[in-house]
Formats: sequence, structure tokens, C-alpha cells
Amino acid sequence: MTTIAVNVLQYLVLVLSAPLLRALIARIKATIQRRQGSNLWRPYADLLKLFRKEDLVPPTASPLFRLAPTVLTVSTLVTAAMVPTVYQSALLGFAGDFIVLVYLLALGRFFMGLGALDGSSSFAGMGASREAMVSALAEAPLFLGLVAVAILAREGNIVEIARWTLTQNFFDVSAVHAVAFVALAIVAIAETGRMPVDNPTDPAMNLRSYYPDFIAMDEKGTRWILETKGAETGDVPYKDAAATQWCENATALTGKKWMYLKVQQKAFETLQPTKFAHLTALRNSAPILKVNV
Amino acid sequence: MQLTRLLLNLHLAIPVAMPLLALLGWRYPRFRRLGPILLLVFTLVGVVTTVLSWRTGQSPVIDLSRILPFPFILTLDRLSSLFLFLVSAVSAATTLFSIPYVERHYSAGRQAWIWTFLPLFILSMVLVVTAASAFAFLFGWELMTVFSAALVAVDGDSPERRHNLLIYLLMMHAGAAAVAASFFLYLPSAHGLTFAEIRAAGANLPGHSAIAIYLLALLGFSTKAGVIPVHLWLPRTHPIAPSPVSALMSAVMLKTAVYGLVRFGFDFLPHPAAWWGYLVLLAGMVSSVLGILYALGERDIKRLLAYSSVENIGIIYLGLGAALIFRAYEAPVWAILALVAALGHTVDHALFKSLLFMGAGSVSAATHTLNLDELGGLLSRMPYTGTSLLVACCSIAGLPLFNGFISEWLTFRSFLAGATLPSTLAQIVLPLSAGGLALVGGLSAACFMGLFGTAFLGRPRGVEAKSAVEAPWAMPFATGVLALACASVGVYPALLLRPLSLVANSLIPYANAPQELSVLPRLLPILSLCVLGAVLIALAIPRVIRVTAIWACGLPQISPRMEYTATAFSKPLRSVFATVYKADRKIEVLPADQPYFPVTVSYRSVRTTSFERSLYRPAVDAIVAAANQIRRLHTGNVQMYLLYIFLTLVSLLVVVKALR
Repeated sequence: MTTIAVNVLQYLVLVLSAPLLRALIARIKATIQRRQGSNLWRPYADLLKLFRKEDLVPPTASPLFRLAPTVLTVSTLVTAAMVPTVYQSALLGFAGDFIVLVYLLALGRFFMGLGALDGSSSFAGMGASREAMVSALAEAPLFLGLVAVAILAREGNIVEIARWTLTQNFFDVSAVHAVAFVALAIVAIAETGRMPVDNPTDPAMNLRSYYPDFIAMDEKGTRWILETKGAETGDVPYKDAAATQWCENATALTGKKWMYLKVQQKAFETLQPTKFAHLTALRNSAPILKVNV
Repeated sequence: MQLTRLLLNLHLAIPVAMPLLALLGWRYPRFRRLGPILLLVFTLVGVVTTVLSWRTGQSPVIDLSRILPFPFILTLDRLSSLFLFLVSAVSAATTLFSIPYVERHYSAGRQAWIWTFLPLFILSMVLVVTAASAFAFLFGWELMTVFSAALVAVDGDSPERRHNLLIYLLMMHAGAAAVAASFFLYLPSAHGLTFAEIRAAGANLPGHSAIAIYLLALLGFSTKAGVIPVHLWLPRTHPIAPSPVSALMSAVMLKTAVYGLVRFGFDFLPHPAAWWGYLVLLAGMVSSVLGILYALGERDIKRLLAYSSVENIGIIYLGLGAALIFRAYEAPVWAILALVAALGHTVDHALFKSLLFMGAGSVSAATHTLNLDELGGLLSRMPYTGTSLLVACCSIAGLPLFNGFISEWLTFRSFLAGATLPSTLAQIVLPLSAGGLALVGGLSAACFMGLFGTAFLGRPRGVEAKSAVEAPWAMPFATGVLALACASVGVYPALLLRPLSLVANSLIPYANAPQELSVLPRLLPILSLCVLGAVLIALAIPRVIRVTAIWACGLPQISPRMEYTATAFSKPLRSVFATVYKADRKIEVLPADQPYFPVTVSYRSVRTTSFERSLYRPAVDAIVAAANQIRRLHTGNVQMYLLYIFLTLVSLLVVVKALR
């Protein structure tokens, strides 16, 4: 009875502390970059928010698109229940075979890749392709690390391996375990998409980030989002719409006035403004500055 | 008379009558379905026969030696009945699939040819796996080559096709010659060439002839199995065969080679040396790694599947090699485990590969193309075919809850057991092979993620894929049955492991079955219940869904041209393994004298497998050179020929004198 209780507790701690790890990494990174960094509980708030939101589904996606995240989550949660972390047994310890563990994780990744490809965006395809490469290459070292430990313990079950290791003299097993540990650490870095294998802050990864050219505040306290444009390409109207929408939202939420101003090369040459106020004053009167949304 | 024997007789008699029915169907279109339906009955009789003989423990014997000039005996022991079951069950699904497929694809005349050759092709495979004499085996073996080649020839005609077919026939006959030679090498010690006599002679073979027999058999069977480097015919022949025939060739015909190798390695040659196993292990490792890498680089679904067959045969060889090594070191428990792994992968591969080839057939029937870069979005257009193919892709990627995982798990576990052997080499090589197998597993997951993702998900990349519709019911039904088989074995492995351990035990007698065989049957049903239950619960929670266009980097909407293609998908892995591919890239700028103001720039990338260049070409050149030298003896001069006869006579007399 106590074992079950401890197992449940161990499992809950393992699963529930996962977002905290993310926050800690972000905090350490912020410290290194001499930034303040966000609150440690931020990932929890994010998750809560995301779970409450509706699911966005592309019009061409098949049912697999919605199945994929579920399979990934479930397979990860089930594998988490197989691993002993702080106590030498686990909730699904009887099933804690290390080959099953590795391949159950692969099942989740396989479906995640398929889900990404189903979205039919080129970025998602790129992500799936990278993920497929990294996991294909990381599988062999991950396996060999576990094989080494399993051979020492003459056991395939992770719980049994852990128990065996605990009964050994620390220095008898340390060499193999140290090497296996280093291998697994590298695999973990690769699998979680961290530097130097991957760069999670790569701009290409943050698809919906929008960086305006300038942000300015005038004497009246109005915040201006400024976009300077040389040529009017096909996507500019969409950017206009998105920016205008954003300004409306920001004004409503902060109570401070946010405005969007697009300054075309042509307008700048025609109007020859000497001050920023000239441009903002003309925003609604000069047709050349008018944003058609 | 035994019921099983009667059934086996019936089983063998049906295909012989099939050409008449095919002719009838051609003359009178009213009867055109009679032949196919009888073929279905034929395969089902095969299934019933094996199940009955398995249940009752009877092994029916058919002896035709009296009416034939050679001993011609057919029988069913445990190993034979396993393979007969495989042949019959896969053929049943394939036949069902073929009925609408053949009607849609071929003219009445060609249909008649197909329904003539297909039953004979299946019959020849039945002969191979039930043969109990060398003659019957070789007879079936040769017929198998001939009829499969005939089925390929029915599909169409072009110079390239003839060239590929010629390569197929040449390699098959060379392989058959090696197999025949290995049988004949028994003759000095055996009284005859029935399997019983061969078995009896096996125990007291001189060492060098056992080695020669083994090497010849390995070469012959590997040629049939498509093991690298004698795989050359495989990626050439499978893509040009009709899809159901490719399914049979890949799923069953290659397996007859595995059957032969198991027969020789575990039945006919009782005392293997350890290096026999290492040789098979090496061949398996090379085949599986290179096979899956070549598959990754392919865009044509059928060529991709053909290379993936090379890979899977490699995995089977890994298990066989491990089993031979364990046998050489007299560790029968582990030998049983490894043999079960190899046989298990044989069954698993037969199930999912036939399913994949049939799925490719459905795709080509619906879209008229097999180029992955022109497909896409087929899952919503062909939901039944798509779902069963998803199961097949999960299985072949070795994911748990599907059958491919079972056999890979067993192979891993037998590699792990290598650490207990009393030989340093085995202690190092076998556990390291687990890393190789893991690499292969990861690569095949990537490969089939790309295959399914580009063909069935996302948006259609071509017009044909856009207007695809589901095939007639028999085709998705056939693939669905196979998918169900894959999933049930994956969730409930005892289904597969219990019969297989009996087969392995009949070849390697040992009282205790390895404990590893009971791990998965105990573990997977509960684990599957957890996973499936949790997924179903998660899906049952109502969620608000908003259908919205995805971010197209500011453009009005995503177009299929922005999608990742299969080529792009595999690019990162192809660059990592660039040395394997040796792509021949040619950039042509026209006109050549104006490099900065070109009118056209064309880019071509051809991937050549270096085997043709570095292995086959020199061999062919050497043979041609030798033939040219020998040609000098042909002077056309009668006196010279008389001299040859005289010299031959003298040398023969000298030899006879010396032997006395």
C-alpha cells in the first residue's frame, strides 16, 4: 500500500515538475544574458491558458492532426510511469523494459512528426524532418547506453536495473555508468532540441513573432508602431491587418493608445516631413498614408 | 486417409486447373470471376490445412516418386507448416485484393495470363516450403523464378523492363545453381537426396564439405532474399511487377529464402561454426543499414518499399546470425530466442510488407502515380486504405502496439544475451549489434514517417492526388484484414510467439523455453490497454475546435508548392550519410559560353549505388576477358581439335593411373 502511494507520489512529482524544469532553464539563460527573466511559474500559467483555449485546426488537416498531440502526451506520460526517479520502484514498474521505453517514446515522436506534416506548412515539414533526423541518429547512442547498464545488471527492466545498481559498491559500477550517463545526457540534449544540436530561439522556430521596424512614443503618450515600406509585396495588407488588430487589442487592454503607421518610401518623398509629428498628423488626412484594412 | 493429407492434395491440385479457368474467363466474360474465386478457395484450403495439421500434430506426406523419375516428396513438419501458413494467408489477402485490381488495370487477354500465372506462382512457393526432397525443392524453386518473371512480363514491355527482367533471371539462376550445388555436395555421404537422408548424412559430413555446402547455400539463398551485395535484382524487379505480385514477391517469395537458410543452418547442418553466424550477422548488418538508407533516398513508393525489403531481410539475418552463433557456442536457450526473433520478423514483415505493396497498388490505381512528390492528402480521400497503411507504417517502423516491435524486441534481447557467451568476440559483437539495430529502427521510423506524411497527409501536390477516391471495397478490405493482423499481434504477442517457439523448439531441441519469450505477452496487453485507454479518454474530452487557415508567412494562403516534399524531408539524413549516396549532380548552364547570362539552367541529381560500379562491373569485365582468352582455343582447325582430344585423353589416363 505504501509502495503504491510512494509510486503515485513519485509519478505526480515527476510529471508536475516537468514545466518547472523549463522555467529553470529559461531563468538560468536569462541570468547568463543579464536579463531579469520571467516568473518561475510562467510555464504553468501558459499551459493552463493553452488548455483553456480552443484547438486550431487547418482546414485541410485529417483527424490525425488532432490525434498526434494526444498520442505524444499519452506515450510520454506512460513512459514516465515506468521510470524510477527518487524511489526504487515505479507505477508501471513491471512494464519498465528499457526497449519498450525507448520505442514508446519513438511512437509519440512518430505521430508528432506525422501531425506536423499534416499541417502542410513548410515550417512544420522542416520541423518534422529535423526531428526525424535527430531522433534517428540519437536512438543508437541512447540504446547503447542503456544496453551497457542492462548487461551489467543482467536485466532488461529499468526498475530491476536501478535496484541492482543500488546494491552495488559505487566504485565497481561507476566507469560504465559514467560513460552511459554522458551518452544519455548528450542524447537528452539532442532530443529536447537544445543547443548545440538545435536552437530553440531560432527566429525560424517562432513563426508568429512579428518585429516592427520602429516603436515610438509621441508627446501625447501615444505609442506608434512604425512600418517602413519600400515595395508593396503581396503579404503587406495581411501584416497591416494584423498590426492594426494588435494595436486595437493593446489599446483596449492597457488603456494607453497604440497606433499603427505605415510609411511608404513614396509617401516619405512626397510629403518630405521634417518631424515625426508631421507624419502622425497626416495619418488620417493624406490618402497616401491611409492604411486600407 | 488423413483429412490433412486430403486437403493438401486438394490444395496442390487446384492451381493446376487454373489455366483452363482463366481461358474460360477470357472466352466467356461471364465466368471471369470463377478463376479468382477458386484461387481464393485454394489459398484458404492452405490456411485450413496448416491449422489442422498444427492442431492434430499430423504431418501429411505426399509421395509422387513412383510417377516421377526423381524422388518427389512433400510433407508438412513444424517449420514447413509455418511457412505454408504464411504463403497461404498472404496469398489469400493478395488474391482478394487482385480481383478488382486486375480488372481495372489489364485488358481481358492480360487478365487471363495473370490468372494463369498467379496460381502457379503461389503453387511453386507452396512446393518450395513443403518439399521433402531436393528435387521437389529445386523444382519449386525454379518454377518460382519462372512464374514470377512471367507475371512481371505480363505487366508491360519496354527495353528497360527487359533488361531488368534479364538481370532478375540471371541472378535467380545463379542463385539456384548455388543451391543445387549445395544439395549435390551431400551425395558422397548421403544415399539419396530426400530430406530424411540428407539429415542423416549431416551428422557425419567431412568438415570441408559442410563449409562448402553452407557457403553455397548462403550465397544461393541470399541472392533470392536480396541481401546486399547480391540484392541488385530486387529494386529493379519489384517496382515493375503488378502491385499484388510485388506484394507476393516481397512478402513471401523472399521468405522462401529464409526458409531455405533455416533448413540448411538448423536442420541439415547440425554442427555450425561460430564464423558462419558472424558472416550472416555481417551480411544482415550491411543489408539493413544500407537498405534503409537507400530507401530513405527514394521517391518512388515501390522502389522505396523494395529497398526496405532489403533492410528487413537484413534484420531477419541479424536474428539468424545470432542464432547460429549461440548454437555454435552451445547456448540452445538463446539460440531458440534468436531463431524465434528471426522467424517472428519473417512473419511480421510478410504481413506489413504485403500490406504496404497493396497500399501502393491502391494509391497508383487512384492517382496513376507512385511519385511521393506528386501525392499528398490521401488519408481524407481514401480513409480505409490510409488507415491500414498507417498501421503498416507504424509496424515497419518497429513501434510498440504494432507487430514489427515484437520481433525487433526479441532480436535486441538475443543480442543482449550475447554478453553471457564464453567468447570475447561474441561479448563485444553481439551487444554492439544492438546499437546497429537501433540505428536501423530510427532510420526506418524516419523513412516511413516521410512516406506516410507526404503521401497521405497535408495537401495534394498534384492534380491526380486531388481527385483520388477510395478503391473498390475488396482492396481496402484485404489491406484492412492485414492491418488487423498486424495490430492484434502487436497488442497480443502470444498469438505469434507461442507457435514460433514450438517451431524453434522443433529445430533446436531443448526442454526450457527462454524466459524472454514470456515477457512481452505478459507486458504488452496491459501496456496497450493503458495507452489506448488514455488516448480514448483524452479524445473523449470535448474540445472547442476552430478551423483556421495556417500562417503562410503573410501570403494569402498556403499552396501545395510550399509543402515539404519527400525529397526535402529526407534531405537532412541524406546529407549526414552523404558518403553512402554518392549523388551524381550535374548542373548544366546553357549556352556554355555565357555563364553569367544563361538561357536555361538544368540540374540533375542521379543516385547510383556503387555496387554496380565497383563490384558487378569488374566481375563482368573479368568474365568477358576470360571468355575472350578461351575463345582463342577455337581456331576452327580440325587438326587442333584432334590435338585437344588427344591431350585430354592422355591427361585422363595420367589421372586414372595416379589415382590407382
